[in-house]
Amino acid sequence: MGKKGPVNIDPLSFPGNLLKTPDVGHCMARVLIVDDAAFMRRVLRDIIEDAGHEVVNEAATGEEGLELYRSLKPDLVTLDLVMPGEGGKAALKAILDHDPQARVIVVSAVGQKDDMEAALKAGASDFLIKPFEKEAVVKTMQRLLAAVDTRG
Amino acid sequence: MGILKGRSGFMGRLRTSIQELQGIGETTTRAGLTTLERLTRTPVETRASSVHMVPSSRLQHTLGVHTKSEVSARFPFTGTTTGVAALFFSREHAVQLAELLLGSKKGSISRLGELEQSTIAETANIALNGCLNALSRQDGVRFDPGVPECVRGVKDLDAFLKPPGAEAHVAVVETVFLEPSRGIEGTMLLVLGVEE
Repeated sequence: MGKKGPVNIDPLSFPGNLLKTPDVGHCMARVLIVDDAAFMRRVLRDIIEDAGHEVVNEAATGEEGLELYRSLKPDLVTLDLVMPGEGGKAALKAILDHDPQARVIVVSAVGQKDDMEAALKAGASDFLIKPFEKEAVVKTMQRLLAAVDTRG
Repeated sequence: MGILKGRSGFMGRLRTSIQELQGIGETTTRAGLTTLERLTRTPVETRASSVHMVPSSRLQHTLGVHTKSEVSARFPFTGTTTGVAALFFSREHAVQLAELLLGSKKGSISRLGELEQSTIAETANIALNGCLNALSRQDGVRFDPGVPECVRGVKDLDAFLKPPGAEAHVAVVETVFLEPSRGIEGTMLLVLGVEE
């Protein structure tokens, strides 16, 4: 599957900014990646772009992630939990305080039951434990986007 | 299970039973290597594995061999007990691991730049949190891991591995592993503070 070229999207038109991609047969989402590890940002970018979605930007801290969320209004966020500064838990709360409709997939190596339950209770849409299968990321995104489609 | 109950039972096991301490070693070693296999998508073999309890002041003496490691990645953790988790590699093997995970040809990376160091640090994050996740599932205990960092050379192993607390003794789980397809060898280390 080839990568998509740049698309002009009105960032303020959520959820109408989900574009149907005819050759892919599903919605193309604008995704923000928040992870302090450059390696993991690259892995996620490759998976997301190969699945026909657009990575609108990357952030290495929770604070930067919140700033970018406010300015870019992405359809989905992948969010690491353990990062320098305030970290992912605070970023999750701040993003959801700003936009209760935000779709945030927590992607973390910390897979202890308490952390997963706390993240989901705080409003995360899903929780993926590293290392993850590519298919798990794609399916989780598709499921959340389908929910947005239905709602929109 | 409440934290206090979990802490009491877990710390009691760390203190009192060599056999159960070995069980903790086996659980963490198995989980760490399985996680590493899933990350690298290749089999990973155990070359040597040991569990011992030492005064924290003697860590340098016990683990002195790692002072020769050229690349390491570690993170501290708190929670039921404090501790430090770390991976150690020679420079050559760290480069080879980065090549494997970044999908690069063998010999194509010559230096450990920012992306390569991030790859090593994230490998430590994923593999060693796999150990802690398994221990958490098994014993109902909890850990709060810190941010992983990649370090070039480790001269002061005591400082590098000292748990973020004042424990006088530490339990050390040490596993030497091999990824045979590229001959990448490394050491996985878990240092758990032991309550007096």
